[in-house]
Amino acid sequence: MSGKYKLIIFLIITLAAGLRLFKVADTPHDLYIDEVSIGYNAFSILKTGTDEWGEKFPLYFKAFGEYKLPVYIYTVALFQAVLGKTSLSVRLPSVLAGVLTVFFFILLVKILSTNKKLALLSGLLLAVSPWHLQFSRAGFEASLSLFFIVLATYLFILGIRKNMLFIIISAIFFFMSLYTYFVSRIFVPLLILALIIIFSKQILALFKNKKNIVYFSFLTLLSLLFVPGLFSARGFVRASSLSFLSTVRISPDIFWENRFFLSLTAFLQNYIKNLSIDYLFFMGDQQGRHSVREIGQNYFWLLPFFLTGFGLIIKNKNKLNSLFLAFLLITPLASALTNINPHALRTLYLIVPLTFISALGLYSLLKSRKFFTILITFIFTYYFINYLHVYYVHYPKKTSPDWWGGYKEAIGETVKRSVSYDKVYLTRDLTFGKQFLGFYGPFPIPVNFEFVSSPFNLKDSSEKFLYLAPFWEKWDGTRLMEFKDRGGDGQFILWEN
Amino acid sequence: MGELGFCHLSDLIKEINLRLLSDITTDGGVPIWLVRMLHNKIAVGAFLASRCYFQYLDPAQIVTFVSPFLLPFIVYAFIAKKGRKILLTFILIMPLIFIFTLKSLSLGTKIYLYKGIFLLMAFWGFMKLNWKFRSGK
Repeated sequence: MSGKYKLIIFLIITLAAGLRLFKVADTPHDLYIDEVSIGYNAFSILKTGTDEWGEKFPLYFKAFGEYKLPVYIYTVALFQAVLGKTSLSVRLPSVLAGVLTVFFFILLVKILSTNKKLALLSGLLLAVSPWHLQFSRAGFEASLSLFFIVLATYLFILGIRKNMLFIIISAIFFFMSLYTYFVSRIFVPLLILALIIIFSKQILALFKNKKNIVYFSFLTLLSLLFVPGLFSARGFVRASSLSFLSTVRISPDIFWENRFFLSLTAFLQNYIKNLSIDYLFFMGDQQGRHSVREIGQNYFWLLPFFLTGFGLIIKNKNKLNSLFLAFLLITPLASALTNINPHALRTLYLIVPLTFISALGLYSLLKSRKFFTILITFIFTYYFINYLHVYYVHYPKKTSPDWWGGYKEAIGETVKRSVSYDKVYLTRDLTFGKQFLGFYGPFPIPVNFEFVSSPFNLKDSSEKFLYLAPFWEKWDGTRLMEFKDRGGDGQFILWEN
Repeated sequence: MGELGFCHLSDLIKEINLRLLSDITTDGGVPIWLVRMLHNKIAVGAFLASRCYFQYLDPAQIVTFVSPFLLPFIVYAFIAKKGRKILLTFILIMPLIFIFTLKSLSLGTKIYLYKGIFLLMAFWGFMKLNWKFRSGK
């Protein structure tokens, strides 16, 4: 790699790191419930070797009954060993994964295209991508899973070109992604199949070397280690609760409205919704944690370049284009099987082909056109600043309830004041209160903390206690503090008797 | 934007004004020069006008009114070389017709018109595919 190329990579990675690390612990929001659950279970593992339900080093974490996958939680436990039970320890694995994804994405495009400028442009677009920033600035398992997949794909290519040992390492990361995020259990096998088809000649040539047959045997043994856990009944709980089939309404009197035909139609519609232009480039996922909602998953000005790039990959069927086309077509399959579409988290892997194809279109139109380069640089800078403004100013105010706004402050203050009281009552309106208390409060949860239904009737007026009530409750006591979310809506009030 | 995604110029103008009002209201405490720089009719208008235009070409909008099983034929109509330029020209102009005219049409009529256009494209794609197989190319 030339010095100038290395310097530009360094600058892109620094930009990616800066954007992801800046105020990540509490901006735009504090931890939401899944992050708190991850942090709580990770700390429990660190301190006791068991999860919140008392199971020793589980492969699947029961949590709320959806059985979370283990890799991200154990990774957070490692970070907590250094950083303690903090919001940063929960988010940092996702942040670092996001930054490294940008790095390995550059290497992946470079190794396949041998075009340094295209690789750098792809990396830059991923570094500033609203979609990637959204999920790599919070404790989302999908971010870590995406990193494993990009790294594994890069190592796979390296393996077929240089040394099969890289394919072994690639397999390890593919397997890890299967235990990081559920969607990868559908995506990764199909991606591996696509890789085998696209690089079939190179793979067959590898077996002419006897040493590689030994490596392949080792790879098969490795699979025996990772695969059985995939078929645990706990691994299917989440999938069955989200199946799109529950939304299909058959009409027994109408022949063509039978279950098979309607299910297939629903599946195809779900699939197409994840490739919707409005969702990808204009309005994004309207779920409050999945996008800023005023901008698409990607910048809208990239759309013409994406369409140009898409035309180019259809026209020029080389290995690079085939791989990213496979990525594009395979990713929505998993989400299409679920009941909510489009879904920015379940289709996060789309960011890879989307970014590459947009970069390809941009590169093909800009090369040796200085005027357009200046114009695009201006448009890029303007809408990037606009995105940062929306993310840091609009987004916190408009989506605080989606991130359980006000919970951290309410729990923190209650715990701080609890030392002076015999008892602390917390309303059951504090959804998932046990997990929030377990994470933001002392571990284990003190016995004098009790959850009660609201409105709360006084039990013993001589006892000195605190009561964390819902905002709507007019309680007969001394009002100490009120807690609002970042949008200014009241959430809880702390009372003493 | 617009009723069931059928955006008209009047919807666009209304949306631009609403969006600016919402954004400027949210920006309490932000320096006024920054508010004006980021929330102005040109930037917001470019964004929403593009959104309005591409809504008509959005695959998700198409499959709302046309069976998804016809989508491959619609795509093939654009891939095959025969008549591609005319088709592309028509499809790029079609949203402008809906945006700048046809306001007086009822929603139902617009849906039938939109559906009809893509059904014809699917038919054209099917015919091209049929010719391709018959000619053995």
